Amino acid sequence: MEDNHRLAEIEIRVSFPITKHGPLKEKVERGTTVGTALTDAMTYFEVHDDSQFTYVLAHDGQEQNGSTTLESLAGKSHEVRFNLVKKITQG
Amino acid sequence: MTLDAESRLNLRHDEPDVVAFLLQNDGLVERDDQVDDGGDPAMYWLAMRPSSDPNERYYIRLEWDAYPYKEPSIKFADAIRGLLTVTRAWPNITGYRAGSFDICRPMCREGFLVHPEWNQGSTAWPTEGNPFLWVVETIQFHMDNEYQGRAQ
Repeated sequence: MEDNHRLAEIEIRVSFPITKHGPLKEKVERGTTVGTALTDAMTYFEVHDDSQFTYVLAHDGQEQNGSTTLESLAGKSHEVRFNLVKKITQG
Repeated sequence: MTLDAESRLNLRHDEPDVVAFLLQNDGLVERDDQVDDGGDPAMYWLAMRPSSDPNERYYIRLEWDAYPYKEPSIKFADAIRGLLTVTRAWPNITGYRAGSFDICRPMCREGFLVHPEWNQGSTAWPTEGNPFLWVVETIQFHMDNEYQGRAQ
């Protein structure tokens, strides 16, 4: 039973260079969406969107849609790595 | 550019994460004083490529004057230690202005000069963590997600 629970989980690691915090590491359900992971990351890093920019998660360099599931990004892996990106608007 | 001792130490501290990130992305970083004796320790040369066009190479000069407290100058060059006034050295990315050789975003000296109001509030230059890595990650993100070819 415990093994099944472990298989249903995935570890996410989110890095953000301009913070006093280290990377976010947490275990979540494999069906969790990128949008939920983004919310967790923004809470952890204490940042929020405003009129100048928004935050997104990038995986392998690519910006991810909020509805994408972590399972679809991970494949058979037990971990998904993201960068939290501050999307700056044009000047 | 004269770089104070504290800035020099802070840059040395943050450099390894930049080296690792660029290696993962088929890029490289060289400090100017490693390229040549007598080079400028405030200056770094990056080679980067967009993931959509891995055969392209862009060369970027970062020049710091007080790290991490002030934003760097960011210029594209036609080679490491190359010319900084070549339009084709620039990528077509929103806010990257090949015609005026600057980036109009709150991430570099040139952008803050055009928009001094960016010094206030959430667009202010970040001094926590590793801003050197942040600048490089941001350029890579733009190349991977907003790249529209080489400027003509």
